[in-house]
Amino acid sequence: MARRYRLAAVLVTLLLFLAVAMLLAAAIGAVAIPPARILGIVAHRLAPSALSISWSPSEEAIIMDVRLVRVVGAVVVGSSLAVAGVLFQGLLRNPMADPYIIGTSAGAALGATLALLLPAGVAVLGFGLVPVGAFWGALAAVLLVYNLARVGGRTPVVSMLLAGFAVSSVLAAIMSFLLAVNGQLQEKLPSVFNFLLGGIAVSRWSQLALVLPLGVAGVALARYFSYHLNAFSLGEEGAAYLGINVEREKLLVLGVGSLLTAAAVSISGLVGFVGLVVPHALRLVLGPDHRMLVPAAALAGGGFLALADLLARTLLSPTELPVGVLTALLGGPFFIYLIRRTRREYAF
Amino acid sequence: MPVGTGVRICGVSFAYPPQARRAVLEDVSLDVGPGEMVALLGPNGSGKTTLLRVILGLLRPQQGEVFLDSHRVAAVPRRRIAQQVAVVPQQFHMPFAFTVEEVVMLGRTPHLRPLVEEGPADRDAVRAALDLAGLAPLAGRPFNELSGGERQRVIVALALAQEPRVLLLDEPVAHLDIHQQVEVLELVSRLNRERGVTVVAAMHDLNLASLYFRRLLLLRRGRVFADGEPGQVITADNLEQVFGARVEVVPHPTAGVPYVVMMPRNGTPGWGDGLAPGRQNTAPVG
Repeated sequence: MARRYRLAAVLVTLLLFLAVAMLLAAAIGAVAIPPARILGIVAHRLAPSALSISWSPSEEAIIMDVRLVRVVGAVVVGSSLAVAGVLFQGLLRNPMADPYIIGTSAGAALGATLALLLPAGVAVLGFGLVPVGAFWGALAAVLLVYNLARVGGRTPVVSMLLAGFAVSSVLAAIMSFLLAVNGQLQEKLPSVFNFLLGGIAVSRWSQLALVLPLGVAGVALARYFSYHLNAFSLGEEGAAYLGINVEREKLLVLGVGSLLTAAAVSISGLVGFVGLVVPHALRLVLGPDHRMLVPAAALAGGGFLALADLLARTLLSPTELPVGVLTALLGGPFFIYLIRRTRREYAF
Repeated sequence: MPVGTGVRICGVSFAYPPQARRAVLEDVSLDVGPGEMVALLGPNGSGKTTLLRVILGLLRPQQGEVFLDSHRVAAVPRRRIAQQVAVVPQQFHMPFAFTVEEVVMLGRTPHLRPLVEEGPADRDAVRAALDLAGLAPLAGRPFNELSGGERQRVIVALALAQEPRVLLLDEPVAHLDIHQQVEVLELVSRLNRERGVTVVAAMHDLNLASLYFRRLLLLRRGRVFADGEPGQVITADNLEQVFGARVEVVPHPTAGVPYVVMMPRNGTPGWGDGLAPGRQNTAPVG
């Protein structure tokens, strides 16, 4: 019973955090708009004529057509990456697995790049092939790293980091090669640059029409099998003892992790370390139960990236930093600290 | 209260597919009655662990069948097997900071469904398992901070929380010191006596097997070499043939079961010059 109340309390707290982060991120910018007015604008859109209008049309346009699109995009990216981190960490039994570090993001990025090279007429459900390419790229990369890093049924930190580094490097090199030889990509250089550094690249709601449902579905699926991830912390053999169909479940977890990474990468490129920092901080507060970690990471990751993107937009205003630069500056040192701290435990 | 399930192994042969030159198990048959307690003995590589994995349905034998009561293991879904059969391995490596209670709760996995929180029945099973293993005072401690013996008792408690009818143990005390070894085996035999759980354990230590198991199965190169009570199986002759080791078997001072004494080449300490240590001191001086 106590556990259920604790879960509810934690989720309500994190939901508030997410709401406040989103409001702040929507409020602050070249034109400051008070949070109360933002709520009014959104409420008016949801239920017209429920409120008297106390804002200018330009304010409404800034909120609805510019800021909120970007904020929701950042939340989707943050939630997806944080939950993907929880999934990979749980399956690989390794608190340092992060979509960026183990090469999943690079795989998604290469997949997305290849999709950009296809004739523009090819489209699935009118959405273009970018998310599809990103998904297959992510899945291929994570399967490759997983098989390279496994030693006798375990994935030691060192071999996972090495395999992730090697695979990421090769994938990044292939991307650079494509960029160098392909004029079509060179024309899009600014956006490719933004993609490689990790910047939220959404400016229209239609860009979220596929990615948002994908992210939500991924998080829901992750929550559905999260109690199996607890069993996986005993290792694959141990999970099998507890009645889990290990091979099927493993593919499912890697598949959903790749789906979430792909959703994030298709609108933001390579944003690193969110999947490392957020789950780690949550584990310190909530303990390692994945049934709690998955929804908590979705809320906290979204709020975290909304705030990080706000900082990236405003820190050197009017120049915009790609948010990936900021998360790397924060997450990189944290990652090094984790390696130092767990060195003994993992016998480097 | 769980009641033991019988395990019947009929003519099982198994070889790991790619290098199938030598079978790991050859025509093994074994009938373990409900509530029986059997130890598997044999040198490293004689097939003990493989036999356990075959019983569990994790490996499919090329020939023969395994039955839990009257059900063919090959036809039972994994989750159903885990509701009846629990495994205690040598050790578990735990990467996250789960508490003892949370680790034991993992034993309820085969009884849970997705999105369903554990209910009173699950909590009762966990509490009973913790009590039986004497772990109630440690319930809130992080698993990774316990001693090896305590951790192994947690793993046994995890298996207990599964409420199994069959308990398979794979060298459960191999990494423990002698006090911890006895502690874990006492716990397992109490389970067997009080709850009627069927126990099949791969054992490394012949003397512990002789002390705690009424029936022993001696394997040699994947075949059953001897099967019976300790007095019939643990003989100097059998052990020489299976392990290639020279031993003497004496009665245990209080339990009366066979006790294996290793014999150095000359019957004297390996460092010595032919004299046993006690004699040197009592030998007349001068």
